[in-house]
Amino acid sequence: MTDTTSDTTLDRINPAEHGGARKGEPSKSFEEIWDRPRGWRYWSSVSHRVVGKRFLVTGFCFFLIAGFLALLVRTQLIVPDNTFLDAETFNQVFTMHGTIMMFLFAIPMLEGFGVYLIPLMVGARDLVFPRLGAFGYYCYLYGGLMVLSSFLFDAAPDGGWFMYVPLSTSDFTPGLSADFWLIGITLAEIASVTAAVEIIASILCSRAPGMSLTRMPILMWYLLVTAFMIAIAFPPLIIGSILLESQRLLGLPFFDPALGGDPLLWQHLFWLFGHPEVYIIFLPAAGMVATMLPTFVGKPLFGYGFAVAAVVSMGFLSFGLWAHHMFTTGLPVMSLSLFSAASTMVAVPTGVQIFCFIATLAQGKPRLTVPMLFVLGFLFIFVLGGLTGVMLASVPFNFQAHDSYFVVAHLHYVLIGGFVFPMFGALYYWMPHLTGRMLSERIGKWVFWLMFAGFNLAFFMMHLTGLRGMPRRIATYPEGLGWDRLNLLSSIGAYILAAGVALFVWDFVRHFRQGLRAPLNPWGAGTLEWLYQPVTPGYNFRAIPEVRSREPLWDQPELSDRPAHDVAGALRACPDHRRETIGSDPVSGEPIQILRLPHPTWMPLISASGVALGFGATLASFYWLTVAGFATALAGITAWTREPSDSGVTRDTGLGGLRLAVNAVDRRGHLHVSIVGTMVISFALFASLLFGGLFLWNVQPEFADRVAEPVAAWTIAALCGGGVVAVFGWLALRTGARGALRAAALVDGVLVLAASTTGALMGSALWPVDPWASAFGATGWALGVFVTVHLAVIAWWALINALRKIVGAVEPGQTLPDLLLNAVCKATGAMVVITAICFLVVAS
Amino acid sequence: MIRMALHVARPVILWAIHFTAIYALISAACAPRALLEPDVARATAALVTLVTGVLMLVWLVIAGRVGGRLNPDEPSRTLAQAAWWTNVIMLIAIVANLWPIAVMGSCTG
Repeated sequence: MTDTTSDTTLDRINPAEHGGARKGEPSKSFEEIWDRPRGWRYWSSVSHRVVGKRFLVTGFCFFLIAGFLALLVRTQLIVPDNTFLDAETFNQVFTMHGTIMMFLFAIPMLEGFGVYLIPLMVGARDLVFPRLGAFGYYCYLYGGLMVLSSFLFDAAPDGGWFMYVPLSTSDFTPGLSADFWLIGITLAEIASVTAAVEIIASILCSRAPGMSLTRMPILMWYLLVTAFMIAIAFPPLIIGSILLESQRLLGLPFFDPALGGDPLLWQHLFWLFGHPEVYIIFLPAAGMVATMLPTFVGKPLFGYGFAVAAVVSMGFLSFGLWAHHMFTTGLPVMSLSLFSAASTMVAVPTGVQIFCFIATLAQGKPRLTVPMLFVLGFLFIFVLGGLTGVMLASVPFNFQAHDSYFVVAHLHYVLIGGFVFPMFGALYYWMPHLTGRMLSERIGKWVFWLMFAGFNLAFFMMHLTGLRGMPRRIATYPEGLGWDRLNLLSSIGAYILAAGVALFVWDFVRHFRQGLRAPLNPWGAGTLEWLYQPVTPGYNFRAIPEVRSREPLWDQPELSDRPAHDVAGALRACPDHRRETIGSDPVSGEPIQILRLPHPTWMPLISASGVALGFGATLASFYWLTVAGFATALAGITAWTREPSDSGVTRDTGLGGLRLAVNAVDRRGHLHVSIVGTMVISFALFASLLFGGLFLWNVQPEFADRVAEPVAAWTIAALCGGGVVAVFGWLALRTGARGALRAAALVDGVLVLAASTTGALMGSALWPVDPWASAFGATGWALGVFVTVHLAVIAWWALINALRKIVGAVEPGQTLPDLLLNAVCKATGAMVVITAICFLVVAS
Repeated sequence: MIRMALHVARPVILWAIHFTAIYALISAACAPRALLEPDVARATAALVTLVTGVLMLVWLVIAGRVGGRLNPDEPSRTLAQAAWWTNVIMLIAIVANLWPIAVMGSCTG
């Protein structure tokens, strides 16, 4: 593969000679096109490097806040009968500690690493949806600030990070504290689901030429599996939060046993998210360990295939464990045994993975750098946490240890060992890439040993405190129960741990002025992100190199024997003065298209601000502002998708004369893959609602059987409507593909009508069902509203597609929007049909 | 390589179906609606597990043979190795799924 065109020639190419739409910045050079906006326009940047750093910095700030709250908890428990915090404040402090750590620190940090590293490691210039990443970040920031602001209103949530009902219902938690949690966290979760779609599409569809699935850096496998897990695990919590907020705000009785609801439904939905969440946090961290280990051992990861099998298996098995958090809720013993067996079973792939790490270590003599120390700390702590996990999987032991400090010790060994230690190692490892300077090795070793010693002192003691019977979440305890000294030691350990973190912060601040400038590939790594001397230019790769190895910097001398700028590869030319990268086949990694990437824009910020306004106004009961906020968001998102299409224009890639289409109409392309990912999320949301309905039908039969029946005739009509929507989605694509744009616009118009009518039919079918009379009826309405929202999206989308065709914004052959809408129509049609069948079953 | 990627995916998907089926059978037998007798649930679970297990054994053999035929340097070999291990792990996992319903006499143990 050769690069035949020089930069100088390219800068003189007249874009007008190349055909196709022009939306670039012809006055700017390649470097200027990729430059980060300056001044206040910095906030319009959508580059993955900027957004990734924002996630990391914001996530770390939340980590410090949650850590401070943890110190308050430990200070309160340092001696018996302490009055440092009153019970109510203590409840708020431990609730916010858990909430911030789980939702506002751990997940966003892994997203930050993912957003920052994926394009660099797979050989792309940016993520495939930079605006979506920026939008997600702002939603996360607003959501986090909303949750945190509850302290200002003296309304901090105090029901635990799991918000169990009935405690968190209006009857037992009046005021806004639970609403702050439900609305703020749901807003922040938007970032997680958008990141999931972004990560899936970017890893599968934007890899460098030649980077097949088996040549991907191992971290990409971990992130890919994690992204799919987020897509399936977060929807149950989102649905649970919406149902609970509906109960608090509208009085719908989803969790009210007096009206056929069940508090256990909340626990099921929460832990369907909550347990995979542990693996969602752990897997990317393990992926980072698997990336760092080979670097410091100087050998490739042992058993790449075993590790892939382990991570895929863990991704699935982790969904079968949720009820082990509910062993003491009175579930049938047979169910407990099923979940106990599954919980034990997950140790198998985890063990396979740990053995891969140990075998890698055994292949050579590791360099004991600071990142490596944190990796070793991870192995030690996480294995201990995993062992206590196997103990807790045993039902009789779980009955004894439930809600005791033993569980607190276990979860911190798993989460701090499984995430915080690798994260600190990763920060030391990739900091040169982030800032261009090295953190101090000497201070770093102090950081590690303080954290390692402090952590083990704090949390190992808690095993013993728990075995001596100390329950979790108690604000104080009487002396003489055998807990005094253990709590004192735990608190001292927590302070030592905090001193390690504080030292890291000092080193971080110090390194901007005094840190050594990072040399080229400072750790001698084999992965692609170290191609340039830090800091890598904003475009990541001047030309995107061909990849023939999992460790290209070790195995491909042509990448390291010349300045990175001169490395040969794809897309050195920039004739359209646009941000572009290579689009690849999801499996083989062969180039299939050229991806056009957006330039800096305010639309993500405006849209996210609209969404935040909508959520915040709901919290404050200013409903007209809610409408205004969501209307702003809709306008912002519509404006960002309104872009003249270059789809189908072909360009030379610089890969031996290979010409590829820009944004090709291809099912393997990033847009179609992302729509499939989005539909996976939609189906997970839908399945969560169906699960809720089935659960209530099964456990509260006397209420479910008394619910008024949906109107069969309207239900059958809605069922047919679902089919019509799917058919017209397909027909719009077919007509558009034939180049008959006017006819396609007409079909789009019919689709608008079909979707609107089907939504109305769904409402008519449900009309006799009173959602306030029973939880089962309310769940039926929730299903109806859910599919109707999808139908409304289809109607809006089809309307825009029709208008674009009518005003001439679309050329013949540019059928990408139709291809994507077709996928949504099929998925929504299926959901409508399933919903209608469920209604018919109830009606019969 | 697409085929090998599917070979990795299919045992985990089959496990997910199997787990859902076993969970549904236990729920049908042990919840207040009592849709099924525990014995019926047990027999159905055994049948489902038998079919699933045989299918997974076949896939295990196929993955082993495909992996054995591939050149050690061939990229697909890594996926074949992953497919074989995924089959092994999931085969154990479906036995673990069946275990409780097979050994317990009733919903309450």
